[in-house]
Amino acid sequence: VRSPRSDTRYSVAAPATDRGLTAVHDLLDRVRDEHAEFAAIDRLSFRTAIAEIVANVIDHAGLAQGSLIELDVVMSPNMIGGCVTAAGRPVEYELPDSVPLDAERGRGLLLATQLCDIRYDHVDGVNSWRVTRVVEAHSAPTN
Amino acid sequence: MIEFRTRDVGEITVVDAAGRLDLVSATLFREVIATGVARGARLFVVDLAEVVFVDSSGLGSLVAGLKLARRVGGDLRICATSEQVDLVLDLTGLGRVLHPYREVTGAIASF
Repeated sequence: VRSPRSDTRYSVAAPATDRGLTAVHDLLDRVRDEHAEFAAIDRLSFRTAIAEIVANVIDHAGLAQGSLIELDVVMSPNMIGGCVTAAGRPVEYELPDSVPLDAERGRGLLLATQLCDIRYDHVDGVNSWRVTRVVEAHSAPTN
Repeated sequence: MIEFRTRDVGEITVVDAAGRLDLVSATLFREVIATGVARGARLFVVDLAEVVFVDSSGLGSLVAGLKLARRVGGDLRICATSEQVDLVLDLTGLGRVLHPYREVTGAIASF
């Protein structure tokens, strides 16, 4: 397993709808395919956390019709980072300590925070969720 | 997107799923199990071998399917989970509820 020598960036803007979630997954598929050098656990964890955040925004953020969600991803030697942004009112979340095993909803944000560091902010009418996973750096091939 | 195909193996209904089980497709999965229950099925095996991603909504739909099956005196098993699915089952503790099996045959034999 090795990490890239420099940052690689990706981005997508998609409607805050089911179709937008599919577009986000398509981008995350691309990131996965192009960065096999990262350990599977890091890629899976980041992908799952981002997907949970985006799904939560679509399902609960109460965005205006026609709103867009933007996702920026950066793959760095020591870190995988993502930023999900959506214009709108501030979003109030309640992060539960635990979720009953028979619950059919309510696991998404808790799951995301178990996988990555999540920072929420609302500045100038824009909600942003910064998703970070620190990864172990390995030496890149010398040839 | 996701596709579901159902087939009967004796009294057991096997649901072959392919795609992503997420916010978009969770409702459809609930409907697949509800339709099965409505036609008299009680025992379900959900084959996740071709499922590439499951999120919390997908997990919730599996829990809903399990509860629906148990409500009619049946049960639901899952099998052939990927590394990503194992990860979310482990973190949420749902592996203790959904009891993933390695293969369809093992899940069927468990009833």
